[in-house]
Amino acid sequence: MISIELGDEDLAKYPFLEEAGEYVKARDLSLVDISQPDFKRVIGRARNRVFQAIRSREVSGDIGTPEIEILSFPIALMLVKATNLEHLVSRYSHAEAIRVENLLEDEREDLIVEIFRNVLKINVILVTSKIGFSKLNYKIPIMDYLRRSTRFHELQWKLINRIVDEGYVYLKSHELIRLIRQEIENKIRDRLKEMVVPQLPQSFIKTIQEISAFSPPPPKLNDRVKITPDKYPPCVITALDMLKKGENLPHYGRFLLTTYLVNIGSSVEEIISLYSRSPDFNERITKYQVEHISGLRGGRVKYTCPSCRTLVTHSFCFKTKKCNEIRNPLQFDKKANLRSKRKGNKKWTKKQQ
Amino acid sequence: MDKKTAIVLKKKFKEYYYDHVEQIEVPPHIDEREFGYMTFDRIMMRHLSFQNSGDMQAQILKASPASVYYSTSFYEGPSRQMHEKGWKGGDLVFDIDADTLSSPCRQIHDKWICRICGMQKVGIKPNKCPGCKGTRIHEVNIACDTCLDAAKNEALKLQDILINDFGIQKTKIDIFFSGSMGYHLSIANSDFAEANQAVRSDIVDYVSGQAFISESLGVSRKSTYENMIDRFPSEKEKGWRGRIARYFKAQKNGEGSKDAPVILIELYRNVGYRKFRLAIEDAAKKSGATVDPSVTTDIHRILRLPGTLHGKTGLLKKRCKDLESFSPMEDAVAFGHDPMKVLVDNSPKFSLLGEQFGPFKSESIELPTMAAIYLLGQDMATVEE
Repeated sequence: MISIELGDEDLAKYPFLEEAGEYVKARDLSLVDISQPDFKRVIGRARNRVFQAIRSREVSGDIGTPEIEILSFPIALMLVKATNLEHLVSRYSHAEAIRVENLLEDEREDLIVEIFRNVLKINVILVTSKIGFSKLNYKIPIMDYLRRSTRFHELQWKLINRIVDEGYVYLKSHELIRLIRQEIENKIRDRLKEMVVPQLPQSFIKTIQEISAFSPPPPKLNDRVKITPDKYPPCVITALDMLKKGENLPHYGRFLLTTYLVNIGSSVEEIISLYSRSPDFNERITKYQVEHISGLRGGRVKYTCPSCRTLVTHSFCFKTKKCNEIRNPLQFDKKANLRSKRKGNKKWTKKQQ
Repeated sequence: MDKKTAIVLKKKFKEYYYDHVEQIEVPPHIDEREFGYMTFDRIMMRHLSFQNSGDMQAQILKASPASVYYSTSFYEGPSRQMHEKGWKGGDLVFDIDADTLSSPCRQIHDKWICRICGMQKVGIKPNKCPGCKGTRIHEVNIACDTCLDAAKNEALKLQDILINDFGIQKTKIDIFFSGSMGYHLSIANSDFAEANQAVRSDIVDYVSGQAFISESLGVSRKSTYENMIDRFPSEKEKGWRGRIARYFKAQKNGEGSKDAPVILIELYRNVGYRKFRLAIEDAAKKSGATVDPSVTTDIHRILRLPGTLHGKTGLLKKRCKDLESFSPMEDAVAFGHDPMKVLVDNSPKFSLLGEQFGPFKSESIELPTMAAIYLLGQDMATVEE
């Protein structure tokens, strides 16, 4: 439990806190109660939370009446869950997490520290002395940082680009908050997944149908199109060139090439034939290794392609401008497709509004 | 290695283990570790596990292999196949190998042999054989004092980063001479035990000075000179900013008492953003410790067991109580002076326990056991008929 005094406004901002749950419980409300006209504004805000998530991928942080804000959160969760739409669960959790992130940005330091310690179990410590060239208000243990930062691909999040001292990473307030967005999202998603929706009164059913109708369609999985060699990323092209020239391709280059080709759908035979030019080629061993990576042997797990960051670590990244901001060589060709798709989605959202 | 040499080496290793089995170190969580070994016939055995130190010692004594390994990770079922082991966590380990540091002396003592055409020369192994253009090239490298000192220097840099930046107590960092060309640093029972590959990879980049960006010094493509000097680090600053400042300060040591921010702003003014960024990247790489990234990031790795012999040198993987004063070619010598007759094919000069040996070329010679095994293990000699 949080050790500092929390007001209704605090609970309204962070309705996922245990204290907010207790506030709701103490009211001892039934479904019949909340179907009454007195609760019209609460239901309205719950509905509005979900529609904001659908339309702008972000729930607004205006507090208005704290009571409405606190009570509308569990009802909004129930509405989302009742639609049975898996992708709406994701979108809603994300939109609520963005709301929390925005609110935390303007939060008082002692409450930030308490939320991090109690909800996320991160030992955040306030920093008073000046360190580095910009104001760094907090420090957290290195492992707590790395567990989260390795999800981000921008170089600024790499540990080496942080101020690190005696086991702690120093952070600005908005960096600390950005670091945990995903966790807030996961917490809300987990709560949604565990939720069991009771039999709902007719008035709710109408709202749920409305939400389902406005909810965007689930993202379509791309039909797998065979990627031609001219669309391979530069690291894969380098690896292939080395093989062609009969140079000794380092272990990591081989792992990259094989996992990449396996994941874009090349056959085991096609891959083996590439290595046949290698001077130390042993068909039996190569076949075993390629089959292992393809998930046809051993643990039956198909290996994925190493990330761009891992390739940098192993000195096998040959980044060009075309790589843009991809995180994994497998995204190299898909990037253009994805962009045009996103544009399409935006248009769709606008039309609905 | 011919059969006879293999038999003799195995016998010598067995004799050694018989007298020194207690000196083999027992890793923490022994019953959760995977063990493995490689015989002198180059057969690799993996997925072994032991309930206690006695079982482990008995197996090492029985097999007397060329190399004994233990997993840096611990598992629910260490003897199961890799995908069924159930990873529970792992020590944070670093491998520093003189082989990857291009010390100039390697031109003198390294040797390569082309497996295709048989051509052999002294010097660093080329990518392609100049004779037949083949790439199956075998490398013979002996670590001299210069190479080993270079490796020790990297280990000291790493130790400094782990203590000051990671806040790991000096006594919690186990440092070992690897038994051949470098050092292993290992941290057990820490917060990092649960670190996944991505986390370990970021730690490798941190210690080795990879991917440091000029923005961390307060300079980006769009920067102006305004307040730039205030954003540059002083030598006293913590973490990598301070390390970069100290690097440039040391570079300009001969030029009076200019502070690091002044040196940095002059550099920026002289070369411009692009070259400044490259100079910073270079400074970071040089200030970092050169480690083998795959050893740290691979959580299923097996590493030589401390207190066991290295099959190629007959030297021990030995704990360094004090890294600065540790002398590998003296402190890690396991075998004694009993004479052994060997036929040396080709060997550069080397020294063990302060005694100089070689260079030898196609000669039959009687050597102390320690020197004979050192050459036999590296295929530079064979046992005389």
